[in-house]
Amino acid sequence: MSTDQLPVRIITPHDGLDAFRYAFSSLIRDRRFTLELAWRMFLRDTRATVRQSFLGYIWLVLPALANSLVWVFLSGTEVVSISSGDTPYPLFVFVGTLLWTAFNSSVVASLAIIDEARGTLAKVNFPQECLVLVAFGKAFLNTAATALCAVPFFLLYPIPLHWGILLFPVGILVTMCAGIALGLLVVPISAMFNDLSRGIHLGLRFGFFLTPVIFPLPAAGLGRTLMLWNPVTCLVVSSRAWLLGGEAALTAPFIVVAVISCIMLGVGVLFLKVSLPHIIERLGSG
Amino acid sequence: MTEVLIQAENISKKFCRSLKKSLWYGITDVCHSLSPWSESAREQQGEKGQLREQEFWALQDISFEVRRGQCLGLIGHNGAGKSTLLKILNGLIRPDAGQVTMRGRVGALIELNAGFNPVLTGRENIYSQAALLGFSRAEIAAKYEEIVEFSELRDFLEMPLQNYSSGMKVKLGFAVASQLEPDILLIDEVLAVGDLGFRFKCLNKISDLLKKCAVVFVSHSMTQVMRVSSHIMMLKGGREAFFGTEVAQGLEAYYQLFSGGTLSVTGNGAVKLRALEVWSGESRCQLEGALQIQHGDTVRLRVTLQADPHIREAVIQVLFWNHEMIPVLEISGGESYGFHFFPDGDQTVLEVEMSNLPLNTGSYFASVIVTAPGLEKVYCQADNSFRLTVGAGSPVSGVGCVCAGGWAVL
Repeated sequence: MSTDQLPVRIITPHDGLDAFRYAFSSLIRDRRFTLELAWRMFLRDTRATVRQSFLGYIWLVLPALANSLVWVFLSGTEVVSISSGDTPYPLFVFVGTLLWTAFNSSVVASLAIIDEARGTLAKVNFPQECLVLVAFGKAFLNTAATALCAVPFFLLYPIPLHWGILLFPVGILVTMCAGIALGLLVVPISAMFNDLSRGIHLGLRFGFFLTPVIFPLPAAGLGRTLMLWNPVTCLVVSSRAWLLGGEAALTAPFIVVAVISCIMLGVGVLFLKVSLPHIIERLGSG
Repeated sequence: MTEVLIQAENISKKFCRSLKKSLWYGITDVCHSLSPWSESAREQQGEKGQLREQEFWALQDISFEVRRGQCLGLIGHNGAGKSTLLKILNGLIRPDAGQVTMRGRVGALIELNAGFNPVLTGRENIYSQAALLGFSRAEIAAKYEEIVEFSELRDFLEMPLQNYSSGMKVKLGFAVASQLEPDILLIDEVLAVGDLGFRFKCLNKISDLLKKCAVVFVSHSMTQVMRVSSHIMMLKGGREAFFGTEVAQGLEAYYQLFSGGTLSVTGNGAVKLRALEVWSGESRCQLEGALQIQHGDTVRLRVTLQADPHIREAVIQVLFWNHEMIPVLEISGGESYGFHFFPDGDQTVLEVEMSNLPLNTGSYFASVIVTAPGLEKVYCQADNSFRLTVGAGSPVSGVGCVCAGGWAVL
């Protein structure tokens, strides 16, 4: 092979636009390799976690199941009383939990990408953006497992089939994008000082109650105002409304948040690419 | 001339001594690099060229080029910047100044088992490792058999990796990594892996690759550096202390870094080494000194020993060690080992003539060992008792001893 045909890589200290241009072109150039590698890594990580437990895949389902059963129980025994309108409450809470799981596990997975791959990042040069896909895959697996345990609920409380149901997967997908994007924007900083990621983990616990997951969006009052400021609200409420009906979908805010999330996701991947050499340098092989 | 595949121009890199500061600088750098307005090299040169508090230059102003078929041996003390340079070449971190141009596919034999998962089986790890190193799906399928064959681990493929011995893991790692067909190969101290048979296999595989690639080779084993390198660069405190094609000279510079350990005396103390003198022609030295000789010179050694009264009989040996702490030459007493003597009163003075010393070019450390006749007790072992620096041998082979053979054409 002559020199002109060989791929050339120029390594410089350049920051800013130069670095972005380089990151972008390598994202495009490595795309096929990235997909293959992401798939391999996803398989590797999933198999490894599953193989280390007796119950295996069941552990994917259990947390979500437990969570929604708790709320069904609380509401059934009328310790707390929540009205979910015409929709049966168990169904309502389950779909809410499913959407929250999609968001929550996306944030958690994307916050963890650097820490989990530390050793590999510090020693092997590979298209690091595949870690984002792996995070996506892990979050998706979690969500899918949760969705699987929704099946009995739907058998118990059948819902009328309508076209809106088709929008529900879109809702899930956008919710995941939003979660991944949030994590990605923080991860370059939190890889070094973990204060931020700890803060976010804490925030997610409050977020659960600041989002209409286990109760409908309040009709009025401070709660409603606060929740409407929460960008996850419109994702959860709209998706659930599309699937179950009964609530008013917040379609316009949904579209705005969806567009912003997708843009942020792209920006987040670029940020990650540009900042990783600096991060690797500071982390060492830990 | 073949094409230049690696071209490094004035690379510099700074590191920070304090963790908190380092992380903070990291964040500043990240923010800086994320701002699209932050300007590129030219304007930054000023700022980037400055050291901040607690920083130091891990690499400074390193330039070189490597062509296909050439091998650059990178040597230096621990912390001299070798691995940092390799990380920059591998594209893992970026320099703070300068520029590297890499042409072609880069293969790295660096940490062979980064990316392995202990719970998964050997077979699964082959697949994920190969993907990580950049094999395409088709390539993995095509090379899988070869990898398994090379690793010699066919019977253990279905076993989880955590049950592999460390040697087996490295074998597996090497088997995968060596199937890459790179244009540029970066090697960091991995040649000596596995058991003896596998080591030879590794070396053969690497010499195959050497012919087709531009190689950067980091090692502390001078024998290996000597064997494979066409150029030597020695780093000292992040700077280039030697660069050239005279491999032997480079090694000499490396040896100079470690000009000598100090005398260490062990043994049960029944015999004490009181004095020592070595000489050859005009030059001479005492205990802990260094003697400069030429290959084939005759060296005389005189030791003064003081033995406890109950020691009736003892054996003295002189051993020469090379820089890798491998013993290369023993001076015996004409019998199977050492020289038998009968200590006498307060002082015993022994002298030995070592004629036509076959030691090759390099530096050697001498140990004087006094033991009981059956070797069951060590009375006195004086390591690093003196040093010989030998010139004019046969530097190319890198072996410890050279002797002239009586060749004839029949």
